[in-house]
Amino acid sequence: MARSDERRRRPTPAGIVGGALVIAGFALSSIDWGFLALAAVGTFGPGILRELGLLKDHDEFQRRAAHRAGYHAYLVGGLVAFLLVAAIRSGGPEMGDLGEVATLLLVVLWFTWFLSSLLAYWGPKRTAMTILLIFGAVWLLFNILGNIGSPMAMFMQCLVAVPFFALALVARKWPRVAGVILLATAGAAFVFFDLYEILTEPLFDRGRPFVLILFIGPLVASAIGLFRREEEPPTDGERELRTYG
Amino acid sequence: MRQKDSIRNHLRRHRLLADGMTQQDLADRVGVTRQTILSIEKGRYNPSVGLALRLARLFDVPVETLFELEQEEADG
Repeated sequence: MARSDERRRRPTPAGIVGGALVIAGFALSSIDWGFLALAAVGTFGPGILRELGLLKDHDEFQRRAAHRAGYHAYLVGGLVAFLLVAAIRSGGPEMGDLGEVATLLLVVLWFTWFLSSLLAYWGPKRTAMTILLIFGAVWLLFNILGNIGSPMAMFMQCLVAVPFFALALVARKWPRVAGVILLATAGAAFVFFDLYEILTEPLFDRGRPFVLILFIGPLVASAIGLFRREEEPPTDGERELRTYG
Repeated sequence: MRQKDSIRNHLRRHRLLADGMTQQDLADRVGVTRQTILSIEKGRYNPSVGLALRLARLFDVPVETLFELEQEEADG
């Protein structure tokens, strides 16, 4: 059975190829933005093949989760697209170039899809903890890469990730306490990064929409997840059997 | 007042009574992932009729023994 478990937990070939294309697309985009098309193929290609019936590596639960996440992304992405069109047509805040607007839409679509998929797979509590761990890990990665020449700065900035790892642990035992702390952190970050100026300043100044989605979004989503009451997931295997005698 | 249907399942109990079958064992035998079995047991996912029938056949019980409709009264 162990061999079967290992087989099941390995990423699918479509996932590996898709991931490789996404990484290659982003890496090569520094040479020419045209290579970003590879990332598009890697991101959406496997899903398109599945919908065409040419790739059958998902079971019914995975298909349902993907369809649901897609619908959520459609609802949120569509709403944001309409608001952007309304803002542009009414001469609202300055929008910047078309590439930034399209990138914003992509980020909204991807973030919504990702969050919905995590919720479908793991439920709110484990999703929240996973987001916190990913958040801390990404923060660590960027700060290590950005401060290779100055170990002290690297150390100090990496300390910022510690509360997120700590909160993931706190969330296991006291989810609502962690939720309140996360909401407070999101509120503080909103003020600290002057994100309220998004309504009065040019929209893409200092990348505010992206900070809002990729920094505040995960914190708020985690907090909401932690406020929801949920049973502990059942454990698998012989341990359970022993409980039943 | 309106009636709200929800489905309760006894999959976990049947699995554990079947010679200590693990979620992965069961998933392999009905052709889905372990995550699917876990989600059904937690009540987060109601399987298709086909999968429900395969599960019932595997445990040699009527499908109603594994899955039952429970009606809740809800305000609305």
